[in-house]
Amino acid sequence: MSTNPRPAALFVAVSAVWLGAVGLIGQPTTGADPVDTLRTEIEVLDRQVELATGKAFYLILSEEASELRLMFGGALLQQFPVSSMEVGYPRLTFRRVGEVPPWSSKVWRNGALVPGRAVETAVLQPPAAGADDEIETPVPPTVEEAIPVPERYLIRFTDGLALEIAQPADPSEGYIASRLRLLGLRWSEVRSVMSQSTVDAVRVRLVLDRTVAEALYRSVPADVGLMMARGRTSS
Amino acid sequence: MMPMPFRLARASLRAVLRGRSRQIAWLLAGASTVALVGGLVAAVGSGYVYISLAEAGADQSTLADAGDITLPAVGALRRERARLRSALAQVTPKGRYIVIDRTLNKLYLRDADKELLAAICSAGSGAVLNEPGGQRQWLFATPSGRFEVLGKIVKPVWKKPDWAFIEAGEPIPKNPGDRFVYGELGEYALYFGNGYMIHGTLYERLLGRSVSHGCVRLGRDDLRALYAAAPLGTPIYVY
Repeated sequence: MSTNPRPAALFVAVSAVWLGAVGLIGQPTTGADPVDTLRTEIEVLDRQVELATGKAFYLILSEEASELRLMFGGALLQQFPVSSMEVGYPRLTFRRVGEVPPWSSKVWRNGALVPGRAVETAVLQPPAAGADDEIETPVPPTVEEAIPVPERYLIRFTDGLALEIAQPADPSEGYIASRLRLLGLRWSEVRSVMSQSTVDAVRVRLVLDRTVAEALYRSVPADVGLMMARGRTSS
Repeated sequence: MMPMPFRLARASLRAVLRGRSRQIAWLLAGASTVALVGGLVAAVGSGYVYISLAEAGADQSTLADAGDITLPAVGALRRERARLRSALAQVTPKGRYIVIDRTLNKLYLRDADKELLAAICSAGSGAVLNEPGGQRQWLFATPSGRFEVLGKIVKPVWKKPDWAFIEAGEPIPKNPGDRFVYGELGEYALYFGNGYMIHGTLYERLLGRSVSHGCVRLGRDDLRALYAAAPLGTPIYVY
């Protein structure tokens, strides 16, 4: 019995072309190297484990999710959505100041608010024992009254990195007022770099909605840590 | 009396200034302009230069060039990833957990990334009470960190500590039975150690303000929901 090989060969050739076209044959030509992706993931996980096994609160800045997460151990405590993220390096007369540390692959520690929260500790004065007069307990202020939030503030970490938290421009602000505000901001940055005393090697500027920026300022714990996750993070 | 050399120098300077005052004025104006322009240029080139995070991060990878990766090396990387994931999973709460923001006076019940309850509470005031004529001092703050629900109590009874009497200006009772107060802590309490509890309050109008002596006060409905949903052992994170 004889068979004709031509239809079978034709079938195989057409199938190969079709499979190739839909990407089932051959290596993908686009996308990240899987080994690099794996190594990046390990790098991020390694820092996350370092922070999560400690006894301090920490922040994860997730570029992918556009949010800042407050964590403790492996628990997600709060999420702060971020509108925009930028990285700033200091320069003096057009020249970069100092060495840029590897900010994206490091755990930053001992974050402190600048300016700090002004919290007054009330000292209670008890009435004399046996006094007949009823003491009227004053109603304490709300958190909004007790802790005013600056328009811009920093969370400054040891070893030269600071998160600068800014709020989006107020649309009702006039042109001249906004220019003057930006000029004032620029001048304060120039002064800080020129004085060299408070210069940050890296500043990560995050723009947060007003309510989010205020909530972060009021409740970020002292000595908070930070890691920046450029890839996928576990939360 | 000024010494002769100084008198001569002063006279010479005056003569120079008289004779060349216009030139000196121009010179000073020129120098000032140069200094001003130089300062402005220096200021423009100083400060912080910002670029997007994605752009800045491109040169931030500290990973060495992968080079020729063999299959065993990929296997080792995968094992390392699995080890790290497992280490992270060990410190990640499984199931429900309570989060308390003691500054904003908010309490959340979460389950992984789901928020099951968001309530307004009252945390510690942070005030200090000194015992009149005594040595003792109390700080009315809610502690921060990780805790667990160690006990669940129905109709909790408050055993008033010494500070409660001192704060009210009342004598500290000798009879322990005089310390018990019924109904002040609401219907339920979740005890999380060192005398701290999440409980109800008679003063719901003060919820949202830091008024407590360290415990966390909740409104009646939120307390009922939390009591029903948080079993013993539920982690509590306070910040």
